[in-house]
Amino acid sequence: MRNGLIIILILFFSVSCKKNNSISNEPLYQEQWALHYDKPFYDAYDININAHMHGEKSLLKYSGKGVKIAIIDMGIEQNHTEYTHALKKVINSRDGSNQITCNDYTVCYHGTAVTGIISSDINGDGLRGIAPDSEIIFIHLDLKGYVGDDEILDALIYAENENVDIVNASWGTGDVSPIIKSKIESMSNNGRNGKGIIFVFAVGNRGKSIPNDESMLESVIGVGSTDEENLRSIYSNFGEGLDIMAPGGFTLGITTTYAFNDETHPNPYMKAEDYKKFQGTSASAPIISASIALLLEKNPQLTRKEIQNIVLLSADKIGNIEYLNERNDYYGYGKLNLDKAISLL
Amino acid sequence: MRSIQAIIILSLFLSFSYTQSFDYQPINKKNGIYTQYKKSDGTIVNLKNTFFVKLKEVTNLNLLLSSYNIHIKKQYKDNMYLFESKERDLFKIMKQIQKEPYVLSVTPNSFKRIDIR
Repeated sequence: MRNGLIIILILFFSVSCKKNNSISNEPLYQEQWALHYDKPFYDAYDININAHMHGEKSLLKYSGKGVKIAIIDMGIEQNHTEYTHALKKVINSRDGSNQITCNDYTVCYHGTAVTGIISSDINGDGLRGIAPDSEIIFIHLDLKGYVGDDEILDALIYAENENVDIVNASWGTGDVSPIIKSKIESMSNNGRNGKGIIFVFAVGNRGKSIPNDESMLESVIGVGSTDEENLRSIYSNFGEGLDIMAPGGFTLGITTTYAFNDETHPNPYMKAEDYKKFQGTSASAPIISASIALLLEKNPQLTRKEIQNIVLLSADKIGNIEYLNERNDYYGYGKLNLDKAISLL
Repeated sequence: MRSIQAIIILSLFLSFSYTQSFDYQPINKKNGIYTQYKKSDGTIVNLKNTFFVKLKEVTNLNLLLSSYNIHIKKQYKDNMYLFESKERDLFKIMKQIQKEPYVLSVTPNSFKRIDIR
């Protein structure tokens, strides 16, 4: 009887340790400076000790299980081994088919990188996504040229029909149309059986304020970028639409997946100091989306408004600009603190 | 009495904002159809040759199609349609359709360059 108990305890601890070690065993985890503090890496690149998203406790406990995220983006390398487990569906918003071509770097790079930040698997290979067990619905929108309101509307309708919890958009128009505004507001109030779909938009990388952007909608979380010094990245847009900051880098990029059918790049990952690094508010937005997936895993009943309140009000007040009523135009409500947000649930 | 005044003020406000929303001047055309308009604030809007119309529940759709020589490009839920027109000045026809009693709203279908961030 006693021996049985000891065996159960040994098994329990070995499983717990395996889960914990499995994160640090990801070969590129050390350089994922946005996710956690790693002293040797931080010292080597002179990174501010608080530049990460303060989420290591949450990453050990949650993985986005049961949460569905729509990524509306350009293209994706569908066969990347880091997220084939998570990629449940791809939809071409032009015709509703599952046909998305990925034949050159410029088409596939962006969506592949965004997806990797959210859902890279804990598999002893490459890196760790923030919400590796979330389900990804990738909706292709042709972002390379001019896009009609009808095409954006179709992409949103596909997301709605897939009953997603979160929509990640690492893009924007700076000229949101009434029809798109109305659709986003409707989905964020009535989606998820009345709890509301959470919309996350990148605010942009032009170092200025953009009026009439999607990020300015009340129901949208507009995400800006912080750098290695734990300050606003110089390129990150500011203004009314900015709600929260997350790491997006400046000198260093955010380590993530690369569309590795491109022969000009040596491997399927973009490393932090890579010449083809991934940086910008496009990288910050999926950090927020994936973090929200962890909150929803802990409590799936949270409404869109509750999520917004928790994420924004738990943010760290960084920078040297005064916050009035909890926010300012350069940092929004501050920088993501995932562990603090989770602790509020 | 006050509520009547409030309704009148609200109606005036709504009619004013409606007029403003179509206060665009055509400036460039492609294949004989104006595709680019200038807003009253100076910003340029690029339009497709389609527009969104939301109709009231009981509507004679065929009458609308034949009256304005438009056809359905796409149908959405809640009585919303994407109509296509070959009218030279799209805003002109949108203004006319907006005045129909069975129309709830008319919205242009603009196209724009996406900022990948």
